[in-house]
Amino acid sequence: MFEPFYEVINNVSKTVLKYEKEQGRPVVGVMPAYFPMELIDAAGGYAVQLWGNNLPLGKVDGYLQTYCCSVARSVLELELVGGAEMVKAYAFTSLCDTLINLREVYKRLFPKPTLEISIPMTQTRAARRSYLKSVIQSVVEGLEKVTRQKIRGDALAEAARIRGRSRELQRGLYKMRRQRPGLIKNKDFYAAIKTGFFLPPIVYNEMLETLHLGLDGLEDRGSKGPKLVISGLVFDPMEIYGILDELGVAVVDDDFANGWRTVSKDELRVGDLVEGVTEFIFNPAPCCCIYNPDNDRHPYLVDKVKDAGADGVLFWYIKFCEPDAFDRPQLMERLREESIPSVTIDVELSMTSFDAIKTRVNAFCEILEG
Amino acid sequence: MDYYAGIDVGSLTADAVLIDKKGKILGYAILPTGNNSQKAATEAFETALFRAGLSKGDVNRVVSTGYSRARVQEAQGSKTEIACHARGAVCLVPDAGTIIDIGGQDSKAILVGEDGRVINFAMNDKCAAGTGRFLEVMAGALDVPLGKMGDLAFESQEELTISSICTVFAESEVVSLISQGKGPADISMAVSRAIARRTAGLATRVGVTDTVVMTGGVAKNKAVVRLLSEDIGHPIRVPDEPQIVGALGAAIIAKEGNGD
Repeated sequence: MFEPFYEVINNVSKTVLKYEKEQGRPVVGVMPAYFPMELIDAAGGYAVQLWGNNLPLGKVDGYLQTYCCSVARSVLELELVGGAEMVKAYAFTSLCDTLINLREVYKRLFPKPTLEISIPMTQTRAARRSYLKSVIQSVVEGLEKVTRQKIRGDALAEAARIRGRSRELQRGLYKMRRQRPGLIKNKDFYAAIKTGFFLPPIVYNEMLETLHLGLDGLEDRGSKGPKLVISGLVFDPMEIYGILDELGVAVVDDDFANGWRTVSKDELRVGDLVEGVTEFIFNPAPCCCIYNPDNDRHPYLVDKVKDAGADGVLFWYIKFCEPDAFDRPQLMERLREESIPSVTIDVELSMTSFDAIKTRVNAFCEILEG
Repeated sequence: MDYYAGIDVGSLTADAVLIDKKGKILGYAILPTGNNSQKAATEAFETALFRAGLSKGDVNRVVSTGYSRARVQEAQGSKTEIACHARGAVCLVPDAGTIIDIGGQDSKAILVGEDGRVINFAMNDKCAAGTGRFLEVMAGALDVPLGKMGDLAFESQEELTISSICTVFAESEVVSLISQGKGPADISMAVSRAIARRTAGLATRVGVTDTVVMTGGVAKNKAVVRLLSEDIGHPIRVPDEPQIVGALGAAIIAKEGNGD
């Protein structure tokens, strides 16, 4: 049932080249996170999300420090080794200092256009609005230059509907695994979510609709191990889900930036694009990279654990991710106050040895199982 | 036939312990892991059996632990080294609260509750900083036998500092100190201080209790133990043979019929 999803995520370049040719749309590489891809779709582009890869890192050392996260480093490596030739432009958000600077590096190194939604870090909605208005205008103009196509209102509404449907179908999978832990293997689940990074949304939606039909008829196998919520930025490397599956762990929910934090977003409101994009970026799930005093992460994570009936939290820390690292001690403290156990694993996207990760997760499971 | 075994296969050594139904240690073995962990596990088990005057058929249940725990053919179950070091340490020191284990390629701090169960743990990163391998590399750079590093450190006259966390860079620092004419005793003390400082940070992360027990091969280095004790502000108890505590814990878990 999940083979078509693995076919995509194990053959990303081949997949992107295929749909680029079929659709005749210029590929826009979308950097982490929360860039409203509806704008790219409506402008006639083909949005491909770049959340890092497992390339061996070499050339990147000449341009980005080793203490930058492996997400940024591996994405830059991809371009440096010529693996991103099909990407015609890059879309950034000002998610963190590394990504802000990465855009500058791209501007200096490559002739490809770069666009950026600079996320306002302000207390008031009014200030956000006036700032975002000019930002969105600039992104729209940039996109139209890349695709040589104007963003029309009807095309934007259609793009919002299709992307909204993708997330709705993904939310359906999240709901299914919360209600029936063990029904979907962890690795299969994230293969299904990850596939959406690389496909045109209409194609992806068809795959998800088929998957839903297949899963609806399946019997619940239950889970033998503990139920966990995972929190982090990026849900790679996928090998770790093999470990979780082997240990019988059922991931019942997550708080990944490229997982639930994105999947939970409602259909983009295009009637008032500035309000719509503001809502899209700041809600509903809080994020360590987005300053939003109205949306506190601490009770959010505790509620998530309780709602999912989880036994504990696995913090999936991509090394050198400062926003994530800054938040974690307080989040762990809050979980401790609620007697919710947690453990942290340090991961890099290029890692090849998972013995230490296995020991940590296994030991955590032993604690949870008493 | 009420005998049980624990086999701990780490990166540097494979250790085996045999116990009877009362938990009394009948024999043990510590052998280098080498490049074949499966073979090392078998040899450690057979050596321990020989020393205990037992044969494989006498052993009721075997539980494995350590990085190669899944590859031990003789084992009917396995547990992580965190669970096993905690179980072994609590068996030897019943009021143990914080257990610090420095093995060949990792170091761990484990917090156990009053019932002896693991409450929390922290492990070093994947690099070898502050581990047995770190000590081994530095001993090699100094051309001093690993077992002599601790005693040598106590002859130190001058306080030196090794600031690098990375083992490779730290080795370069040691080579640099040697070329400056610094003595092996002073350098050995600096190496011990570097390990102690790093391990103290790890222990602080899980919490330091009144009774701290140190296990693993590095616990045999008295300089590291003393400096670590000073850093965490608590005395540290070291079992007679700290290197077999993980295997002992695995044997006890085998006796209890546990281990997946």
